[in-house]
Amino acid sequence: MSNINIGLRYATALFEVAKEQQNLTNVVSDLLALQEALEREPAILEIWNDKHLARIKIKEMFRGALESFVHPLTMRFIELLIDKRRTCILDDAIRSFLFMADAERGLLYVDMTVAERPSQKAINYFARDLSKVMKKQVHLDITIKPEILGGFILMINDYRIDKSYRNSLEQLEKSIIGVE
Amino acid sequence: MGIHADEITNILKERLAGFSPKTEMAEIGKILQVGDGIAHIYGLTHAMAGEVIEFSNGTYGMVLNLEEDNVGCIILGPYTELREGDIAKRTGRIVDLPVGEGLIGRVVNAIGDPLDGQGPVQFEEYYPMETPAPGVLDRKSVNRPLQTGIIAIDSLVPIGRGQRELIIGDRQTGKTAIAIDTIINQKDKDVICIYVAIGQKQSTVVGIIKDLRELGAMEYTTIVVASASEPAPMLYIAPYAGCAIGEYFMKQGKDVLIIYDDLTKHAVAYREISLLLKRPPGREAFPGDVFYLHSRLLERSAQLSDELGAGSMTALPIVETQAGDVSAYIPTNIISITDGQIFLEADLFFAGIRPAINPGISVSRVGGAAQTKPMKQVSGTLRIDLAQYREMAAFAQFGSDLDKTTKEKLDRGIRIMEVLKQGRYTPYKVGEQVLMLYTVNKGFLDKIAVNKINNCLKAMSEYLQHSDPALLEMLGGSEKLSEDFMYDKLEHVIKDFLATYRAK
Repeated sequence: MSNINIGLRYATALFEVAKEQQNLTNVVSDLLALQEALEREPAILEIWNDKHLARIKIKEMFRGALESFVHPLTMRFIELLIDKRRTCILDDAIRSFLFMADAERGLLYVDMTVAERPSQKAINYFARDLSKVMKKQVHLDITIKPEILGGFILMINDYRIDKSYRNSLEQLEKSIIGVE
Repeated sequence: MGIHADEITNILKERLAGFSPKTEMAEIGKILQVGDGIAHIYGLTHAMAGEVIEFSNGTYGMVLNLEEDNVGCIILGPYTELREGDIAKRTGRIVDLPVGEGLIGRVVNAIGDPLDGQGPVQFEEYYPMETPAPGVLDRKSVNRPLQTGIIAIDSLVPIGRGQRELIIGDRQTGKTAIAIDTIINQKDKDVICIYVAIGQKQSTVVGIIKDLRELGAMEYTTIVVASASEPAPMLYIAPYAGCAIGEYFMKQGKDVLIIYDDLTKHAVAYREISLLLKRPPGREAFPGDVFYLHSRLLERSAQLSDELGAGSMTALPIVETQAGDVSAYIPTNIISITDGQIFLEADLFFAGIRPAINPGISVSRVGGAAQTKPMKQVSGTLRIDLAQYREMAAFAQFGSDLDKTTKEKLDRGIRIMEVLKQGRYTPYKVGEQVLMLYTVNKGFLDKIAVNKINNCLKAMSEYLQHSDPALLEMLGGSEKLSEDFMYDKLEHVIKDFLATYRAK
């Protein structure tokens, strides 16, 4: 079974418990901080993924470092991953957990690709309108790609809405040469 | 031919005037892994089995595996440019290809793109590659013959329109030759032919195209090529593409002949894809659904009912055996799916008996019903005569003292075998075949030297074409020949000719 599926199962369990205990926000911030720390410090990541080190040692190290900062539920989740030798699924579990937490909190992260950076006012205006349409609190992540020439491309979960000039020109090209 | 700047401007204006850019909305996924013509894609949650996927470089793919967390698809084109993380887009349509009259006379690849340098294919519509086979009520019994022009087949293993007759044998035994001869014999017979080359050398395909062109057979033939150099996915879809083209014509009430050359390579390509998609291997490492792979293809060949236009699609799948082993996995599967088989033997081929058909184990389960009455009359005892001859010939090897009857039977058998020999690209009309078989069955050739039999029969056929074409037409017709006709007229003509021939 792939890591994505296993990660999803662990994330679902954590999500349900966090939701029940009304600790979603705490767990989200803990997991984001943990992910950032592992990305920033390769030495910690090495220990996290070390297959030769005794599990009890890894657990002790992480408990010592994190216990006073993270919520007990997050701590138990981290220990569970170490105990079950599932440290490799952390990324997938966090991704799935954040997706579920965002949906629960009515948040929607949308990637928006534009040719030039628009003003903050324009971004806010667009996010507000999009929130109305999607009936969720939209957070826009802006990516600049000059090659799209103008317009925008939105990525909402698995869907792409392409309203870029490049796409329009490609459609025009097909229309002129008569290709479907 | 000149073209003016004004005309170009007008065309461009027309196109621009009617253009309004659309917002493109698509469900997309990302490539997790790509290689060997296969891609695993993350996302595409709503993808359907068999759906077309468009990759970022414009190449298309077809969804085969729908898994919990990814979609496995085959890539129908160049895949070396694709990378991990590239976007793959759903198109919402099932794999299809352009079909229509414009395909006749063309050479196309497995997705319908032209390969013959004769410009774009003019098509009428897009037709799905995979469709359900006609049901029980949509069909009727096979009742019309499809003449191959090969005397050994038309007399011993007759093929009817809508039948599936397997051509099976070792390499270099003349399997393709039979298929090509059958195509050649369809000239002016209102049968559209489709030849699907699966995993063959390009040089072989070029040779076939050249031969068909020279013999005027390309006028009613479409060739679908997925050569050995193409990736396995193209080989996998090629027979379905050919079948879709044929089915389009069949549903218009036309008669179609389709040749799959060959399904062994098709199964091998499917095995390759299945193993790459991590489907569990079974016998000979083929996946569990390899039977369904061919049954769903061959079941689409049918004789449609009168209500549906009475069109037909006759299939001649080809299977290559190893050392004559018909009990291997793929041969047994296809033998059980088809309505009979023409078995070619390497020993016969090298003994100079060509086509190297083994009449003992070659059968046609439904074609007999479609055989013309005169042919039935002359070929009724042929199979038994040949079987007796083979048995006697085997025993005769042990001793030289043979009684007169046995000797006569052996002589007759040798002559029958000689009549069944036939060169390439020389199809016989039904009338000629009936005449030849009648002549040999009645012992008229007993006095002719074995090595002169073929020349004699050719001369007789030519003689009749000039002197009495109506007689040949009658022999080739569907009416039963009366005893009077045979004794009074036919035998009289044969005797006359042989007297002149011997004198010469």
